[in-house]
Amino acid sequence: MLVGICTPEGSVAQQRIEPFESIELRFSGMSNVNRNFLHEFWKPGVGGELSAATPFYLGFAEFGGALHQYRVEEPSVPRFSAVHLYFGWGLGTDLGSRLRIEGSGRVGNYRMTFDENTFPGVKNENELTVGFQGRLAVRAAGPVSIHVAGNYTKAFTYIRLNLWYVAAGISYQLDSPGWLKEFLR
Amino acid sequence: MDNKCICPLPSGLLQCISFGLFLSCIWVVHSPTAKAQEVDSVATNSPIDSLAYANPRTQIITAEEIAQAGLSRLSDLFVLIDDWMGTSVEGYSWQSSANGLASYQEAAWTLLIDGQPVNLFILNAQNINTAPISIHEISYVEAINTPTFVAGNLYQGGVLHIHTHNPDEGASIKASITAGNEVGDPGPYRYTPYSTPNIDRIGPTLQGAASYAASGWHIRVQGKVDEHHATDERIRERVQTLYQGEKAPRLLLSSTSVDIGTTGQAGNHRVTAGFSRFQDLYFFEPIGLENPMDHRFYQIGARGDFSPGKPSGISYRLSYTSSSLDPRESKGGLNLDWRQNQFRGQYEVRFGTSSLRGALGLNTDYLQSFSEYTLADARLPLNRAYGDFFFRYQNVWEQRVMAYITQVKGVHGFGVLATLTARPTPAHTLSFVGSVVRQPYAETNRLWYWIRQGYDFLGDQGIDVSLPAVFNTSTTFLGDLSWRYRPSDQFSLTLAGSVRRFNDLTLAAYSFRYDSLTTGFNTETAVRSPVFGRLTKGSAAIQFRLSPSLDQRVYYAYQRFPSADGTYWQAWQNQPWHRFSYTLRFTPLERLSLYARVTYTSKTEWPDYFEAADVSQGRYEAQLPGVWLLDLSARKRLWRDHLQLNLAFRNLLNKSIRTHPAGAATNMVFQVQLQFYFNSQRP
Repeated sequence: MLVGICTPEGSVAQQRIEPFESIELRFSGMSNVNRNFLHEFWKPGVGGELSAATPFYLGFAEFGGALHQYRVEEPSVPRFSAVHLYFGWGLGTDLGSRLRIEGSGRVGNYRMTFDENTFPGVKNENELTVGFQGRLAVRAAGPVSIHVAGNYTKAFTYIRLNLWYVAAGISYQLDSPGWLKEFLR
Repeated sequence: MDNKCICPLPSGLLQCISFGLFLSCIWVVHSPTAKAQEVDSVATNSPIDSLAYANPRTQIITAEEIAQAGLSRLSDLFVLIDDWMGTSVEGYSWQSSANGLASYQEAAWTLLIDGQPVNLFILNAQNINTAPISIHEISYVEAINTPTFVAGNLYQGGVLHIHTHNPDEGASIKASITAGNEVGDPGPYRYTPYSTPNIDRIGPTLQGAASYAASGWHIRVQGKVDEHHATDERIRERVQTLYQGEKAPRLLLSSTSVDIGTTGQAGNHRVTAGFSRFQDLYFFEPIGLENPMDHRFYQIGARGDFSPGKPSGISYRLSYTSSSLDPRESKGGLNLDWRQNQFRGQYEVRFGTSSLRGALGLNTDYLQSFSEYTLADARLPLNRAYGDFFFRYQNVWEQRVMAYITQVKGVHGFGVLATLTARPTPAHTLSFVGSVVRQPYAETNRLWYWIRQGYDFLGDQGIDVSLPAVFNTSTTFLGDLSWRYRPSDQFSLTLAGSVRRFNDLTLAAYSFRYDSLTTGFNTETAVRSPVFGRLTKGSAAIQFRLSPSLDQRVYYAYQRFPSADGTYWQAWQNQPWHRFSYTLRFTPLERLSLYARVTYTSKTEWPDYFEAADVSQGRYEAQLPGVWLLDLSARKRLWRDHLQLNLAFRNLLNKSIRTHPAGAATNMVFQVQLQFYFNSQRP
């Protein structure tokens, strides 16, 4: 099966890898870059994202979580934070010996937690999200890569939340433990 | 083959049946003799069930399809049945109509679980979710879309026959959790001037079963807990008229059941007991509002066969059911105060050979109602004697005639069912099902009958229900003719046509007027008898398998009623004329599958709501537009099949869907389901 995530062996393009054979752990810092109706009330701060990607039967599968912070622009509303948990699936290809490009679609849940100390009411809200991400990774040394990414997330609140983020971070790839491979297969 | 056509039915009495037999006889006489294909392997060892399955109008839904589609509630089954239509106010309690056999308001379909009828009917409605069974215990479901004779009864309103898994040997445990989220929450905007109503989650639905099976016997315990939120703003406002509670209005269901089965030289025997409690917000038409109710259902039953699989033998079915509607906490203190206990017994002796069989049986049914209202006669005993005859010639020709006579409250009724299946070549199956039933009104056990007996709950609320001078004994003629062409396992085409004629029915005509105070309705109910109507329906289904991993099915049906009186028209106008569906099941890998279903339902009209629609300023509409729906789900089995994860989108096109004028408008839903399974004898 042709799969594409960066491999410890480096520049082998499109290696034939069994599903779930390896896991790549990815950590990113991220920043919201678009402005829309939401930003009249809140100003997103810097966020963080932790995810894991593994070869799937075709392409790769990923799951992860991101933390977004929202400060208030308008004092009549509370600040809130949001945890975005998602599953994703994507395809990637190597560009030369060290460079790799990927695209993936995501489905997830956007869990918003409001500051109920200052604004009593519903503390949490959950909403469906769909989105996609484009990612460019460079193998730095052995299993370590660095990457930049851009992603779009739409949360299906009544007034939709449309969020564009740019992210940059580091990845580390390891072989999947046997028990995990058996579990996932 | 003998070049004569021998039709065992008496001529004249059943014209439509005779006509069908005539057609079928011609078919056989002029067709080359060939070996007919065997009945599909899913069929059970019961000849009755095998015949039902062999009927091209029976749709089989397997556990695999249920799992791939990510179904979590029994009512979700209606989504997969092509020939059944449903409507629901809050999206949890569904009124269904099977293949034009009865209107929504009659709720005439029947549920059987492993051959045992489960009578969920109470006060003109039945909610399949209250059946004390987990959907994950289903092995397969037969949706029988024609009149049928099963479990010693002729059912003419459609049958949903659930067959549960035989528990695996050793100790097993199974559990699942399902939760969903409908889009459209206010999100952070709830703190701004742009706030919108909150949309609650769907579920969670928790289900579990534990079983132990050894050679010759098994025991299984199962249970489920489910909740559903009255999240639609119009329903929430209406519900607040009567509902009282600490939390937002919710429908809460819990159920448990146990079944014990033995198989041996003494035959197959099974004992079941189940209980469910449904804390309901039932939209009760005569009130025009949701009535908070506490619905409890108990059933204990036993059934057995002393010589299963043999042409001759004795079988029995016994059950005791109790259903009650008690008050749930409410502002108005409404108390329906209604309970019905029912004992059913069925005993059958069958005889013959594998190609020519007969059976004689007796049904005794004793129903008693309890209420603080004084009922003139609270008892409803029903006795029925029947005969059932089956003839098969070399798998080319199968013919069956069943007839019964009944007596209830001194009124006699009868029913005749004839089925004929001809397979002139392995690729062709021609099937005819015809029935004539004359049914005393008391047998329907409807609310209107009990109002006449003195049940005056509605009168106490100041609600007037006008009853006819006499409840007529109805006569129903039903005919279904179908042809299935299946040249290979990869392709089948089924064409079907149905005619129905209903004479002397008793139906209710409602008139809902908008009440701006409660945002509900003031209702006038006129029960009319006799009511007359005819219905015709045609459908086509194509099933094709492009590869072993890709199954597809396309279905289309058109339904009309060419002649009817006003009351019948009013009761049936709320069903769509056109219905289309396309189902795709893609299993690229053993443990990974994708499921997609597209359905189209044409517009429906609800004459009962004309008055309300005129004055409610858009809150209620008497015409619901046609709608396209797309459901999509992906399933991955994990950990050597101990785990199963399903992610599903319902209504992926995110249309605002409403199936009832007073009902909830729902949008796209995302659902996650996780199932666990462990067996002591599997690693």
